Amino acid sequence: MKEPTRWRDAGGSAPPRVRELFTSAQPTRKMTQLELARSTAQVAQIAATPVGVLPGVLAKKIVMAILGIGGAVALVVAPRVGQDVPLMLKVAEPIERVGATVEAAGSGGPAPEEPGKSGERSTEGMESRATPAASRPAPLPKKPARGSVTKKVAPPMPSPPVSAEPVMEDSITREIVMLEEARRLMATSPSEALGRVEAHAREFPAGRLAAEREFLAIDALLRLGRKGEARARGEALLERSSGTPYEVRVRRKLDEMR
Amino acid sequence: MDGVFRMIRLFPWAARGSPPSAVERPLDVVAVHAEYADFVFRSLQRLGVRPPDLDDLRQEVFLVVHKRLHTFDTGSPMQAWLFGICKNIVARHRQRAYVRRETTAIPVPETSSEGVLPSPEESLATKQARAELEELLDELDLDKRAVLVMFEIDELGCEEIAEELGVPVGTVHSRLHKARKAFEKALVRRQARLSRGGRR
Repeated sequence: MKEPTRWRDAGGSAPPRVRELFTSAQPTRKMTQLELARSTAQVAQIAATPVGVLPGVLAKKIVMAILGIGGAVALVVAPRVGQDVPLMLKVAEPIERVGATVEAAGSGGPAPEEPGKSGERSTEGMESRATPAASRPAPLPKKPARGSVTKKVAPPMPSPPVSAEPVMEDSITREIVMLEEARRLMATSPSEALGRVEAHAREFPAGRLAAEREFLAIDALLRLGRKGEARARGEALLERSSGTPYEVRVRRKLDEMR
Repeated sequence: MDGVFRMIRLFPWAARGSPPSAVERPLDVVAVHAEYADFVFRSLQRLGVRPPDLDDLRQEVFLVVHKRLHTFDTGSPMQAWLFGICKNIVARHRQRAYVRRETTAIPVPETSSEGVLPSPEESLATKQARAELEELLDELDLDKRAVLVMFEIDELGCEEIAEELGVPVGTVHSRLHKARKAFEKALVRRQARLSRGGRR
């Protein structure tokens, strides 16, 4: 079968206006690495959810809630008082794979295989598995025998968890996790969501997801009834994001305030 | 024979005789995503999803994949199945009120193809032409729209389109022909409305 001639090519039988319109068109674009990383993180969360748990239209919201609750991501702050210890991330299976995928995407190499399946896996930069003993709850203290002298002893400083090594060094993955956490909290506790957003701003003042962070901050302020601040930040973001997809989202948000 | 190759493509670990790796594990949403994320992303654009909604709809697609993967017939092409899901989700998305009334600013590149900054007039003309094109494409049904965009804008060949959509090449030719007719009619209608002094 003969291939038809394209409208915008010479010899295409298109009316002049049609040719003009198609000449101005932009081809569909590929996903950027950032979009792919974000999408991979989201799909990892979807995969971690049992199918039966997803009830139709509410599925997305539930998945977002599972982001923080379901054990995929747990933030563990190393509890050393007076020391400047960076925030550690302890990440369960799906996100761990995402971190590795993102690293692979950055280096152009293949994504590593799932642990335990291939039998060979580099542990460099990755979290070592917590031993079963470490994950068991500590035994309850025994009652002192009657008549024995009890001394008040200061409780020992909790030692950092065995697995408290940074799992994901990739900053973009970490940014995604922080902002997804904020998004998850948005509906139930906008003040906590705002806290997460501010934490992101402190850690990544010029982060790659700064625009998304600002958008979440506006949403949180709006939910907290701080409309003035929300509007001011919304208008500032609108100025910065002219011609980007955020423009429409921010305009929609500003319209909600009216 | 074609079915055998397809099975090998879907289940490479079976042909190799070793257990599947995480990436190769069949019927897993993560594996499907790894292979077809970009295809879904592009399909949604071809079906007319605007940039601000792409992220949400992409997630919806993979939620459906996760829920319905057990119903996927491994003898049929995965892309056709995914495209069907994209189409259903976009059809629902089109029904939503805010999508119907919203006109989206489509970003114009800062430089022209010659690497020179376009004048404000050129920028405006390009922006208007793209908005008009989107409006006209939105009048087509989703199958025709996708074929027209793939052929005229993404410049794919009919065979490539047929493979991506999982339909015979003859169907692509037929859809393209009908899509062109429908597009021309939509343009005539639009111009008639404009000449009568309507907004659109």
